[in-house]
Amino acid sequence: MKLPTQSDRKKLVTVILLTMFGVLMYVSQVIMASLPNIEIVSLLIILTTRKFGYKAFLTVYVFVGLEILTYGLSMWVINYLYVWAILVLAVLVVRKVDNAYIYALISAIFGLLFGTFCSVPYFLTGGMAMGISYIVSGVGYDISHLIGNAVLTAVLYRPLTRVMNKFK
Amino acid sequence: MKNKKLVVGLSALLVVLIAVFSVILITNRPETADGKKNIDVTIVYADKTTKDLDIDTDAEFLADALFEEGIITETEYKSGFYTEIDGVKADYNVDKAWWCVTKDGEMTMVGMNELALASGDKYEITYTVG
Repeated sequence: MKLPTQSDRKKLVTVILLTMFGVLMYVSQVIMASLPNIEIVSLLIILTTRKFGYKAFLTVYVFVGLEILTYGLSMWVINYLYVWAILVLAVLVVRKVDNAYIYALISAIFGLLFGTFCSVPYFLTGGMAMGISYIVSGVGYDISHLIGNAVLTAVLYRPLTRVMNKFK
Repeated sequence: MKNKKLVVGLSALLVVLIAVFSVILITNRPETADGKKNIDVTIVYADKTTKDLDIDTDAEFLADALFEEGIITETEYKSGFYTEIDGVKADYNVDKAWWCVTKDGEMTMVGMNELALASGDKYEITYTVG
């Protein structure tokens, strides 16, 4: 039998870490569920994507899978299937940059556009009126999402990056 | 230098987006009216039977009036997202059913929690599939 190599062990540790971050996202979402659009999932996705690159998709879909198991396949969970992936893609573009303000801005823009991203199924199923109605009725939540994401990322990016750097 | 350009670019994008969303918020801010109002609400169920409600209310928004009448649940009233009207659930996940709210035959552009009432308003809440 072939013994696992150092490379195999490293891959296994990476998969375990990616899964653990997905679970962490889920736990944080559940704990902060009562706060209107204040979440640290965006920040955790930014940190995971910076650390692991495209492999962060695994983390995102562990998180989404746990959400589906908990809440069932409702419309907003369907949104989760693609909306968090948009943030991963955005961070991948600037992954090499290590600047709290840049990620706070990206997180803020993502928070503000969150409702717009989530409106896609409503445009597809209910037409233009339903889609626009969804965006308009959620603007207040999007603004609180913007503020929450900007503040949490600006404050927590640096200390959490130091923690992430301890994972080899 | 590259980071500075990125900060400036992202800041500019954020400012533009905030401006656009502010305009959306301001232009869609409901104008509420004080005092007693009389509104008509017709609920159209899945089997096309109807229920007509003639409501006298001091409520400012449609959801407030419907909650007072016991037509919507407290949980959904607080969330602003409605799947259950008059005890009838429309489950989009089961058969793509949802409650469509129209005013004078036109689909409303905001949810029931933001629909400001005026005397004489006629609303229709229809069980819709697809």
